[in-house]
Amino acid sequence: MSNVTVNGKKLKGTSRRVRDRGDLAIDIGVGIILGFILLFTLYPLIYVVSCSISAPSAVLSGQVMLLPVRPTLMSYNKVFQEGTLNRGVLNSILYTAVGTGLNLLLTTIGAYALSEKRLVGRKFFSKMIMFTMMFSGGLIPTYMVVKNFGMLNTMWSIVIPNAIGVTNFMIMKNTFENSIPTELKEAACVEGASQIRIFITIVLPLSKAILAVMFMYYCVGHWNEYFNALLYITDATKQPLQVVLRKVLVANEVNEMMSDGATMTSNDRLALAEGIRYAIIVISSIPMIAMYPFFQRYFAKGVMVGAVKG
Amino acid sequence: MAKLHAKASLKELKKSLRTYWQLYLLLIPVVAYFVLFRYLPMVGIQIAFRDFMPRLGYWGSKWVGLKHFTRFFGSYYAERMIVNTIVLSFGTLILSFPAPVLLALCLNEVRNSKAKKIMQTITYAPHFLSTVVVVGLVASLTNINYGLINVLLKQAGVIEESINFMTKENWFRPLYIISSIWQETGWNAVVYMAALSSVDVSLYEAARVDGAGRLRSIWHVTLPCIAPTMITMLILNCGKVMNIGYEKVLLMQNDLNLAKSDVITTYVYQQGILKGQYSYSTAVNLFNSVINTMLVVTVNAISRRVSETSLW
Amino acid sequence: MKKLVSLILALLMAAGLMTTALADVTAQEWSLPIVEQPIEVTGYCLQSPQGGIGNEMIAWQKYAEWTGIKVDWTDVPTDNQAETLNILFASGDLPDIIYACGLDNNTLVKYGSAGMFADLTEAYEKNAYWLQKIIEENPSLEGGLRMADGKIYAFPHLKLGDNMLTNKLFVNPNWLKAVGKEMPTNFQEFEDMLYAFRDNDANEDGDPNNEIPFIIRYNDYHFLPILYTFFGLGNRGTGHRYVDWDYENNCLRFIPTSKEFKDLLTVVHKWYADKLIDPETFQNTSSKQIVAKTTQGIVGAHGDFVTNTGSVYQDIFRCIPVMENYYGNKEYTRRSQLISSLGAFVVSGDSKYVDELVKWADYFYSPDGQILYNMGIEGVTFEFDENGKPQWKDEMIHDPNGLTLTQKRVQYMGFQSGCGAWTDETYQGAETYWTSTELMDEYKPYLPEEVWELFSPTPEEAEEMDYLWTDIQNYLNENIAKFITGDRSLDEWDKYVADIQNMDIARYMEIYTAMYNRYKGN
Repeated sequence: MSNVTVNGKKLKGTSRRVRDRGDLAIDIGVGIILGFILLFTLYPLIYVVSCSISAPSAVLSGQVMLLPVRPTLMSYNKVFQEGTLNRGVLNSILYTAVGTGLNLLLTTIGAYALSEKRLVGRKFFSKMIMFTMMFSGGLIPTYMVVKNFGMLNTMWSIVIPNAIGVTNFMIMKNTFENSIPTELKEAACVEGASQIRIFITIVLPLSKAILAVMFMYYCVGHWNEYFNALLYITDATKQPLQVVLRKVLVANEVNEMMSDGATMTSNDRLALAEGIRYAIIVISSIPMIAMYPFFQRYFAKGVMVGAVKG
Repeated sequence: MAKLHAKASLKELKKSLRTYWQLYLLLIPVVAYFVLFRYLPMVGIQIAFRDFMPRLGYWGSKWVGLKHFTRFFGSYYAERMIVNTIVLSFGTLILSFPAPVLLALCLNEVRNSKAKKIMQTITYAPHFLSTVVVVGLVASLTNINYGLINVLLKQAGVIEESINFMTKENWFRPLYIISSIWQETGWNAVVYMAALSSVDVSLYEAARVDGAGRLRSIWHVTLPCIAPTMITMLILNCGKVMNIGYEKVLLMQNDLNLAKSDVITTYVYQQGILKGQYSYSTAVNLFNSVINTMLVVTVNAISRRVSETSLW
Repeated sequence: MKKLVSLILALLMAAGLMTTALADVTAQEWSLPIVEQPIEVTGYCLQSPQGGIGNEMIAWQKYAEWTGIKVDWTDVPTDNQAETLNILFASGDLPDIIYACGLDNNTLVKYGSAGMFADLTEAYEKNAYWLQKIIEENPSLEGGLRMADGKIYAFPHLKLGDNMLTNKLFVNPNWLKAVGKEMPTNFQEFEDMLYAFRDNDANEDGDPNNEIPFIIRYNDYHFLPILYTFFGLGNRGTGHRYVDWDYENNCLRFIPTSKEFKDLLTVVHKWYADKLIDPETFQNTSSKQIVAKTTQGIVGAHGDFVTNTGSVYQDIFRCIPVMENYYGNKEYTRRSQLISSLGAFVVSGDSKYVDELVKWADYFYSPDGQILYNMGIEGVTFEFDENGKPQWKDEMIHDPNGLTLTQKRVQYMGFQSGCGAWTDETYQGAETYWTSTELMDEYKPYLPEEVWELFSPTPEEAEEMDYLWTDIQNYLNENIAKFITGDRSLDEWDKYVADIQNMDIARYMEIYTAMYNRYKGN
């Protein structure tokens, strides 16, 4: 609530209000709530990082409570020894980039088109799309479709089947409906702008926040993609990061049904698997977690005032 | 009267096509996607009424009508599974709804943008922890020997002997719901942060002029502005109620808490997928889908009447 | 001419099979290579934690050279194995070989009778010399190999050898000394020993309250089989978890509703309430928990894999000799069947090379094949010692980079449960560890007189049993646990039995008996 901008210029004299006791109370209340939530959230994060750098046997026997026990980078080394790791990262970057681009494109144009209240057929299409959220062909029929389109073992099998997330679509559509005033669009229409032009020059810039959110949602979805990649991609050179990491984890686990095929190793292997599990989480989530601060500026406020009034 | 109505629609359609032809153009790839990759696979739903044998394909497999449904509903545990699924899912939905909003509102009040960035990043990080790790954490914390919760409770004198939370059926739901809230709140708050940022600032000005303090501003300006987003999220989540993820329940499930942890999706996973009974699992999933649809339609209709926001 | 010979052979074999219960070796002994012109086939192998099959593994490369059959392997990851295999089957494009995926009887029957898996019966009778030789020595195998329709759809993964098949009980002798007790010889002494462990500072760490006297892993392979040994239950082997032989009535017995089982629950409930077994028993479902606890030195006795106790304790825990059980009988029922996994090798119904691939699989049952399967390539992974026994080369066991034997062998041959056999001589693991093998001879006289392989149902039987068993199994899981923890009182035993009867256990046992009769008829 600090700055008001009109036509790009900051209005002076509006940056501060008289602070009263009510303000202080709210600040304290907010502080307590946030503090509690942060503590609640911070603990498991610290725990995960600690486990990833603790001695695996300590992790296995539950000795790690908060801080690392017998710090070691053994778990990370194990993961980085995996030869296909780099390839997996590159694949993931490719799939994420292409996938997210496609996601945003399709979702945005569709959501915008259906946000136009006077479009005939709007309700029909909305219902049709919504229906697919509740009903789905299921694993095998979808696989057969992907297979019959010849997309198996290609990037397209990862990027296309989930090209539009219905939830994301609906959120975007509703955001367009509620936060883009019709007067704005009409004004542009009167000046002779086409639908697509309005979309690109007016609507998109005003929707930076929701676009940023959808970008993040889709991006993370692709980066964390495991199951579909597992099913559709059998060529080891095309597998994304999560599949590679899971392979490392499984390779270091112990088969439950058999005793170990060697002496003196079960407990060390199990321990190592535990340590690796945590190292994998840290490795695979850091890029996504680090991404957010860069996007935060799109969540800044006050981007629209004054353009229409007066 | 009807004929006139129909004709009017056709006229409206033509007008719409003329004015908005570019929008229809934009819709083409979108609709194509849904038809090809969502509707086309739906043809496979019919195996819920057949005994699917891969070699025979969909159409060649024997038609058995409602056999799979009879089997599911005739199961000794069918009622329990359905009840558990609905309670767990709705419970999670309703109880985890306020937290992201609250978090977003609080974060919105933070003036120091650096602190805000850091706090936001911390709160949504748990979303990235794998389910296995989260359940492992829950198990660790509730462990009867060294779990933090038991240790603290005993020290505070609240209990004498450790409680084995993971095996007590009455603790299953609280543990599940609380861990879900804790894992997903920060992530779910992101969309509310975006909504908050598009609140028209001049509205706050107007409120201030009217003499509203911060709290009143939040109540009268902020909340109504993000209400559409909240309602949309609520309706959308209703459409997923029956599809509670099996992985987390399966990890938290053990033979002692089955009375509360036995849900449809774990059953389908074990009977359908692990045993390769495609038809059976498709039938049960179909049942789930029907319930989901009924729920969404109902909630959407209510929402349309009560507020201005609805999905269609 | 070839066709005529085959026909005559087939007729002879058919006649032979109909008149004898024992299997005769009908195939000719054959030798490598399998084909003159090299052929290429495709194969799927389970990527078990110990690795799948990589095309770069030396052992498999050599085998391709020796046989003339090159297999292009794809790994099926263990994670989401069921989904991946389901998709494989549903899409209908099967590879020539499906290897080490542990397909169960129901799957084999379902897809075998539909023609998706090749009928191997003829090829088996013609070519599978080595497998037949093993069956000659172990006739009970044949009943487990053939499906309900008499056909063979898969080759099994076998465990051969007394040690491989007998998982024993172990105790820490230091604890015995600390509490002043001897190795128990009967049930009562065993129980008293547990009480002594609980009450005293048996592990001598200064704390008398942190001991877990007896730890039993809560999973299919360990929990009930271990407990059964104290009550003479499971007298036909561990393959049949809930069914054994009723000597009194000369028929099959459904264990969970038997009087002896009620005794078992009463005793184990007491053990649980008195903390003689781990309060966390029902969460100890994987090796992880067992290892975590045993390596902390707080466990007195166990029935798990000795290698799960850690490098220090696996040499400390010693085997408990066979005890007199609860009823005073000296017997040990925990004995596995030979076929540890039937669907270890399956050929696609569309494959052109059924005969060749059957030989490819059969080789692993031969003496040379067993060495290849278990020990790898001579000169690379092992050497023969002066007794002609294969021994791991030093760099396999003591890898300079700290890899374990299992991890090291992944580079050369992997470690799958494929068609082949683990034997006492070649398998390196808990069952053949010295603390497991030292008392084997003493155990032999007390093992079950007969161990059943798994029975196989017809497709209709399979469907009906599945339908009935789903609910019964869930009911059992839940209520056995509750009886033990005390969440359900054993006063409700009659209601429990009545509930199970209402789930039509009688019909289930009828079908089971039909399968049994077919099995015996073979």
